[in-house]
Amino acid sequence: MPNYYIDTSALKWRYLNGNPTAYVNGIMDDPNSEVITSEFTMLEWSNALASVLKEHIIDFSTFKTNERALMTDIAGDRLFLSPFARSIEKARYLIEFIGALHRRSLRTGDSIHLISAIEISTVKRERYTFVTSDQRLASIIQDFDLFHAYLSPMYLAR
Amino acid sequence: MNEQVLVIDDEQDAVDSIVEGLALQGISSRGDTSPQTAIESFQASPTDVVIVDYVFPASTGVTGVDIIAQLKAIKPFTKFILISAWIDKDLDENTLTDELRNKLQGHRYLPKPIDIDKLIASVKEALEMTQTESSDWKSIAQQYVNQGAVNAEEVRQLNEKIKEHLIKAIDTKAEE
Repeated sequence: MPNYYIDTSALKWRYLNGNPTAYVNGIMDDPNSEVITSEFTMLEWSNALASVLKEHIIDFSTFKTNERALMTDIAGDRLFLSPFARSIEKARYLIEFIGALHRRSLRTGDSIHLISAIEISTVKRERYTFVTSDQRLASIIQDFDLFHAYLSPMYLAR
Repeated sequence: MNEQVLVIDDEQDAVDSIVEGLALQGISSRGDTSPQTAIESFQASPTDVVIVDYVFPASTGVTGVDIIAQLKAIKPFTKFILISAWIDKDLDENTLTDELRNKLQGHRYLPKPIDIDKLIASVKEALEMTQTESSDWKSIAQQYVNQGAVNAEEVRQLNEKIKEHLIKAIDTKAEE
């Protein structure tokens, strides 16, 4: 079974039309694939919707409809969530290693997604395709050997 | 505000006695006598369990069942315990109408005067259920879907006009 870890930057194309939408739909609607993300994605998605709502671009009803669309995918087993609470300490070390020692730009959310993906890969003992629309993050996965046993990057250009 | 339980009853004495009874068992709670401010308070800080009276003054225009419906829309996997002093056959455990039974969706009903031991047992049971369900995202998601599933194609069409704003919001948040 093909295994995918999808971050928020890529998952957004499930709910927005764009070039990556077909790829994201393809893996999420394929009953033979497993697509997983971190619980942290729930916060990132809600936060993005709240930002747009604060600017009066959407109303609360649209906010809730978007939330239910994500929940519908989870309830339908098209998307699985991984707990991130225990990832924080490891994510901190990742920021120290990549951000401080190697002076590469690794954001808070990126570190949580990467650690979550590695933990899932470790538990399942299978390599995961890390799906992202963030070219900088895909490059980091590509450039550091420590990820290669667990993850292979899939960059979705807009 | 990190209370586990919200108590909503228009009688301040009833609220106080329940909050005190729960506190003695180490269960944190807060109370409100106004349905409107209770809903606002829940929106700001949802609790795992809500104890709500069935009958409120006519001026409020709501019943406990109406309040449950509004709170469930905010946090679907909340557990509710409906209480009432009114002798109302619709609220008799054995004669619940199908409509009301459907609205309560398995939540507890306890008659007034409240048997505090029964209430505490119900709250503890509800808190345990919430803890189990909260660790299971599929259960949580199912509660949302019970209010109406939304397929991805439908929401893509809805978001078409706001797409650029959402992309910017997600990418900007990632920059922080």
